[in-house]
This record gives sequence, structure tokens and C-alpha cells, in this order.
Amino acid sequence: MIPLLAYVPFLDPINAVHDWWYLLLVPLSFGVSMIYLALRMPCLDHYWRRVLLMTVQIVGAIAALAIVLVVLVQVVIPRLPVD
Amino acid sequence: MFSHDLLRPSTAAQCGYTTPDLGDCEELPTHANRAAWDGDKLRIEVLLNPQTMSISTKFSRQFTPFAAILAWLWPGLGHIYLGQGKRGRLVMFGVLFLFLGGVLIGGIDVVDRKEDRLWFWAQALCGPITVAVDFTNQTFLKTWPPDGAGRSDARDSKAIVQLGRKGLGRVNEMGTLFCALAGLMNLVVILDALHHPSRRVADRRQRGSTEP
Repeated sequence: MIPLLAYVPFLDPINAVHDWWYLLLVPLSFGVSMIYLALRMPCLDHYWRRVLLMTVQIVGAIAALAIVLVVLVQVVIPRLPVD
Repeated sequence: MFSHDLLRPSTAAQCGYTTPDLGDCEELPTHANRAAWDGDKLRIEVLLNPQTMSISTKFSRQFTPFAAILAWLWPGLGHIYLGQGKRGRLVMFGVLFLFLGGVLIGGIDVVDRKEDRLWFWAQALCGPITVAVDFTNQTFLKTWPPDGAGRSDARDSKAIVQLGRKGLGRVNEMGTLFCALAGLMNLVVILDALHHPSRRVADRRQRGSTEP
């Protein structure tokens, strides 16, 4: 049972994040923004500010999309006529 | 002195011209004596070579396959080779952040060329680091501990260890996605290094288009 109890980073999965996996969108967006802006920006002035801005934009856009889908599935579609 | 207006600000911007004094830009073409924005046009003044009457005014993209290979071998190395050290370091940090983050979240099981072949091809764009992680996964995770001779519980122990290090569900999906996105973003990096905007513009003969 010892191998199950001993967590080894990079070898064992972090099962603790299983319940709030959607929060991993934030570091995912941050990483994508870092790479994209490092290539896209002609000058790297205000780089980190732009990265944070793009991260917020991505997370906000996906959150808005999720809200729209929830409203569509939970509210709109149930009210549609069955026939 | 030759004065030349660039009519393609986006192209000029890719070459590092964004501010009139150009003081903070990382790379400047060595031929430009002065550059300043004039409305939406970039005015560049250069000195003509009196011997060849040649001038560098054409912003082009260079084809550098060696830089692309370096970019695949280690993320960001291609841009460092091209003289864009800060950009290369940022790319390196970003790609490794995504890749190592994925491995941290889902364990090394997220890189598996046998069980997740399609995902592996996307992840392999990160370079040899992906192969190393997959080798570690195939060699140590899936076959460790080895069956102990004379031990009756060796088989059960192996199964317990493999189960404990097997990423499942959301954790495995997110870890796999992190590593795959790192690879796909590194593909963009490789393409940018392969066909990057030239900071050292090609010389072009400009006979007859000079100003006194």
C-alpha cells in the first residue's frame, strides 16, 4: 500500500484536481498566451501585461460560451414544443 | 542619404519597428540610420554604399531550416539561434510550462505512444523531451516493479503500483491536453523559426532611386 500513499510529482497524477478540473483552464490559457504573444508581438514591451490580458480574454470568452450553452440546454431547449 | 517609405506597416512592425526612436526594440537592422513613423508609413533613412550603390530596403522572410530543427530539439532554441534571445526564452518557458504542467497534472502516463497514439503525435512536436517521457513511461511505469522471482505477491504489487500511477478521467484528459497543446504551439514556433521575418534584410540594388 505504500506506493499508493507516496505521491511522486511528475510520476503520479494529481487526483486532487479531479473535482475542479475546469480551473485548469486558467494555466492552460496562460501558457498558450505566453507562446502566442512571444511570437506575435514585434516588441516585447508590456509583454506580461498583454499575456495577462489575453489570458483573461480567453477565460472570459470560454466562460461566456459555457453560460450560453447552459442557458440553451437548461432553459431554452426544455421550453421548446415537443412536437 | 536615401529616404524610403515602407507602405506595409504590418511587415515593418514584424521587423521590430514600433516606436519612433526604436530604442526598446530587440533587433534593429544595421543599415538603418534613422527610422520614424509618418502617419501609417514608416520612413527609413539609410546611407548608400558609394561603391555598390546598394541599399537594404526590402523586408523579407528568411528560410532557416536549421533554426527549425533546433526549435524542435528544444523549444525556443531556434529563436535563440536566430539572435532573438528574449523571445526564445519566453517561448521556451511557455512550452515547457504547458508540457511539464501536463505531466505534473496527469503523471507521465499522459504521454503514451501505444495507448494514445494520435495524442502522442501532437505531443511529439515538443521534441525529444516527449520521447524521453514516453520512454520513461513505457520502460519504468508499465513494467515496474519487475516480477520478483520467488515472491508470491509480486504480481499483485505490480498491479497496485500501475493502478496508482495510471491517470484516469479528467486528470488524464487535462494532462494529455496540456502536453498536446504544448506540442501544437511548438509547431507554430517551429514554423516561425523556419520562415521567420528577416531582421537582416536582403540587399537590393536601388540604382536610380536615390536622393541627393
